[in-house]
Amino acid sequence: MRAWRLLIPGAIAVGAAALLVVAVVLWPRPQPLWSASDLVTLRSLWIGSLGPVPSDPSNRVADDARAAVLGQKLFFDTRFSANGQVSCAACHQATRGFTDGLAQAKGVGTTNRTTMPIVGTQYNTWFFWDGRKDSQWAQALGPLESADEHAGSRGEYAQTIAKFYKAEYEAIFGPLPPLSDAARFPAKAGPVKDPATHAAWDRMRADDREAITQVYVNMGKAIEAYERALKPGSSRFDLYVADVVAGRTSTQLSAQEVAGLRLFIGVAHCTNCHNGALFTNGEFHNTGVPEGAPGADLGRIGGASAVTVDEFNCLSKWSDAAPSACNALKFLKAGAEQLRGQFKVPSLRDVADRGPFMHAGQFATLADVVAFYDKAAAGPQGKTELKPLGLSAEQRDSIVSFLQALKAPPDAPAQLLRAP
Amino acid sequence: MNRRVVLMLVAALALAGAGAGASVLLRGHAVTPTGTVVPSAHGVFRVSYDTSLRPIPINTMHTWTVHIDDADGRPVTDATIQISGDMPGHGHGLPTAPQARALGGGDYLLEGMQFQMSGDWYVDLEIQAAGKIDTLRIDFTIS
Repeated sequence: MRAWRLLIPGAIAVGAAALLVVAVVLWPRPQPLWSASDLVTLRSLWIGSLGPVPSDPSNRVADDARAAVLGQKLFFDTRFSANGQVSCAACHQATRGFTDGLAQAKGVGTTNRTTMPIVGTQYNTWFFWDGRKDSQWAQALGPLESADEHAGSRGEYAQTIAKFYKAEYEAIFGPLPPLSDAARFPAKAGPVKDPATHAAWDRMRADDREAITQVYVNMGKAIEAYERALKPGSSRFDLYVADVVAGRTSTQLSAQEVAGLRLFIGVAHCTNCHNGALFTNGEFHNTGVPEGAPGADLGRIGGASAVTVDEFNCLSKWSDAAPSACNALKFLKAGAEQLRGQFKVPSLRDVADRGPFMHAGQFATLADVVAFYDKAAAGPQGKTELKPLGLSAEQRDSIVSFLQALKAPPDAPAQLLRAP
Repeated sequence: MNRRVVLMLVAALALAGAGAGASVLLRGHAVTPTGTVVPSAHGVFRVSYDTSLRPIPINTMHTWTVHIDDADGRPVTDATIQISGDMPGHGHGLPTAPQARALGGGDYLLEGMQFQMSGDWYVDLEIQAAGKIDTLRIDFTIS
């Protein structure tokens, strides 16, 4: 009898303990906002993961402060154009994220593509929407001799350097050629579209053409030295990730922006291409974007072939790189049908104010872009890599909202963001 | 034991059992383990591979090494290797055009390997040696 009296409360106690254990195990606990895998992705997108600016062995003055000072002057100088009105900064406007707000860039004429941003390009391997250049300096030289952009010639530009920048130029690069000898150095000469200018170039002695091209190359290398200082700045997204990885509750993003971020790294598959701290894999993809300018734009299939024979590529005589430093070019994929209709994946950092969007300004707003990617329509060239996402209007709005959180001024001194 | 643990155990058992076999299924995608010998599609060659960076990163050029033996286990020293690859259902292919060069003793260095997305991938090797040709698919996942 006495034993029973002891057993009953004991059984009750054991039962209660068991119930407590079950309750603790089964009780719904708040789920962490981000899984361990999500946190890895967030950290990879964070500006803290960007790393230092990589060296550019193809440009021996890439990190020369004197070259950067000269490069900034050249970048903003409209005298390097056929009509005296076009500088690099005419399209790459610092107040518009180094773009111009136009669907297709306008210089002396109109191009067939949108102006690309400058900030962050010191991390790039390929340049232009089709990747037809492989360094910042080679990129800078393209528009200078394009008939639709600066529309001048390297012969004219060498004369302009001699007239306005002789001392600065020679302090960095050594003596200019004897440009006052008009018989050897015509006022307008270069391998350009204009037949008279091209003919004058062809009539020049080979060593004089080389001397002019060397000046032209040095202009590009100085411009690169300037552009390397224009680094991407920290956005609200970056502040949010800094909080999250440190285990702090963050108020940097709204609930809608967080929802958009979750879709961005999740079911919307944006990070398939917009991955890494620049929100781009630096490669080329066919997303079926409609043509935006007259004529067919084949994209990367043309650019990949062009860069292999580019006068100024990493393996050219004008590059300062050893051939062993040109692996991107050595292992370049060119000629493959997969490249048809591919365009460069742009960085999404500070994207919100850079419209109109895509390679020829096909979409006026980011909402249009997200709606297009949601539908994944067939494109005009090759085969789109996209598949329909089936997002709701609310989900699309969330993604657009998140992209606003990537706004950030460049990480560069204010004096670099205006004409010197 | 939750579903994730069960899957991991199944995967571990599958990997352990792979031995000299071919790819194993992991979360629905085949994975060809590094360092194990895999027969080519028609058994002409026996191949193993390894990567210079582990785990394989995205957007970073690196090298792979491949060792090729014939069906009798003798090193194949004069093979030419064509390299291609893609992600199932994507269609963009590799972002680069990797090249293979012989290191001697049946070893080959695959240079210019790069992958631009995380997810499931395959690399196809078309191996030609001594008048014979065969292919090998290497499956892997970048997480």
